[in-house]
Amino acid sequence: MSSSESESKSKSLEDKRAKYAKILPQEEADLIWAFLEEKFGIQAEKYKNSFSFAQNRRGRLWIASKEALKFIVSERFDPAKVLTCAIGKSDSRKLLQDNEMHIRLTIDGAMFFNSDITKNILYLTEEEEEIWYTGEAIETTKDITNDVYVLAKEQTKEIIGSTIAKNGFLLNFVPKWRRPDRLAESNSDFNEPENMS
Amino acid sequence: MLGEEEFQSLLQFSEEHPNQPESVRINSLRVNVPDYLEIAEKKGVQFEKVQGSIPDAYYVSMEGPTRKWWNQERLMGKFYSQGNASMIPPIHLVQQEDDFEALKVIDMCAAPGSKTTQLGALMKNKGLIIANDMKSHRLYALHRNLQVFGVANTVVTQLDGRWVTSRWPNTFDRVLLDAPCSGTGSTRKKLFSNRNEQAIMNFQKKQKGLLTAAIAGLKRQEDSYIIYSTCSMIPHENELVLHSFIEKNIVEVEKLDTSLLSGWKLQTGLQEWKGQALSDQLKNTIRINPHWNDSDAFFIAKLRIIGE
Repeated sequence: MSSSESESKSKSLEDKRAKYAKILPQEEADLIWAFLEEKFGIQAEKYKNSFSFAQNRRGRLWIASKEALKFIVSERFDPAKVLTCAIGKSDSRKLLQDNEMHIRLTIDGAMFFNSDITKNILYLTEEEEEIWYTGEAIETTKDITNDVYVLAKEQTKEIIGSTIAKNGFLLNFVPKWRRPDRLAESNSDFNEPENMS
Repeated sequence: MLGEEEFQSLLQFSEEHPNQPESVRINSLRVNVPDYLEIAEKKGVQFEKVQGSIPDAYYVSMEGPTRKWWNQERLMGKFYSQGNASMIPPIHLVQQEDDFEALKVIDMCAAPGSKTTQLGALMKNKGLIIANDMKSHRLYALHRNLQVFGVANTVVTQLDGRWVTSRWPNTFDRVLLDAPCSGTGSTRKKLFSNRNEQAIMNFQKKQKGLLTAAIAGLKRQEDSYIIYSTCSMIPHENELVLHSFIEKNIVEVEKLDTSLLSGWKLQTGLQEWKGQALSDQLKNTIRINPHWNDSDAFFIAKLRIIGE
């Protein structure tokens, strides 16, 4: 096998491994809780007894009930394959180009904690909200530092997602399948009344 | 199953009402339900509570322009579109007084996830739900619906339901077996069509296999039970499946708490079919007929294991 072949093989193996997730030990979970508390004002004590985290090497973070995590350990499942509540990603370190610990909450993460989020919230006007759901970044005139934020509707204060603010832009992470204009083409079997077998 | 006159009125009703009323469950894991109803009403959505004690279940109606906003809300997991009768099995599976933190539940045929998401909300995201399905394409929808609904107490598995509990014998406090069926009561436009006798018997075989597995997976303890349901009206997939287990003294049928279903017109399960006497325990099961409730058809039974 040539060296380039072996290199690409080991790279793809590395890629595969990066997808696997591990259940975070208590000390690492505590760091995440501390971050969520400090950055978003989420009262960790409310959740700590019932929930903990799994994370893969790409920084994707899942939250799950402790009973579910216990079951995953006993069955030696890969948490990345069997858990459904992905709440964050630590990709923001690269985007924000600093060495601080950052977790950008996903839409589902922001909505999981919902009204318990009290800090780092940016409110969008109805026009901005429209743009947001098309997947475009929003140019903002607000005087804000580059950081991770949660987004909410200005009128009703409902949480709708999260963003990274960078150089006057709110980066958009709404996936295509969640954009209403794409609804018909990509969601044929999504959330419909069940079909018969 | 229905007298001739009733059967005719079922067919007539299905023809006159080809579509069911639109019903949803508001996601209490995502929103404060009363606040959300107020917001949605301001946007032009009209709500009417689904009959019975089904938490957060509403019929909805709206004019055209509101639909776009409503779809957006659906993608954010604020509600789940689910047939009204399909919301009934989960409310019999878990009860308010259960200790959710310790509860282990399996939904053996979970995709696309309507009942699993409902269980997640009823259990307040605590304890454990195994959401199993064997078909990959259905699993994708299940995974996505659980994600969008924010359910954090599920573990998704892809196993043939008939073997799932040989892997986990004597493990679960509750088992939901919403068995694959002919769906003869779920599509009004094609009521009873496209299903031949052989197909029905194949479903029955599968249903018996799944129920055997459900029994194996259930903990042998006082408050453990199985909820068996189908959206078929055909006795071969309902009473006749259960009868074979009752006859062998494997399970007994417990009466469902019908106080949760006030406003629903219910039929008790059949105790006789084509001259064959069936167990009188089957009177404890319920049948939901589409033309009585403007719903899908459903058959629901609560089963406990006898002995070891």
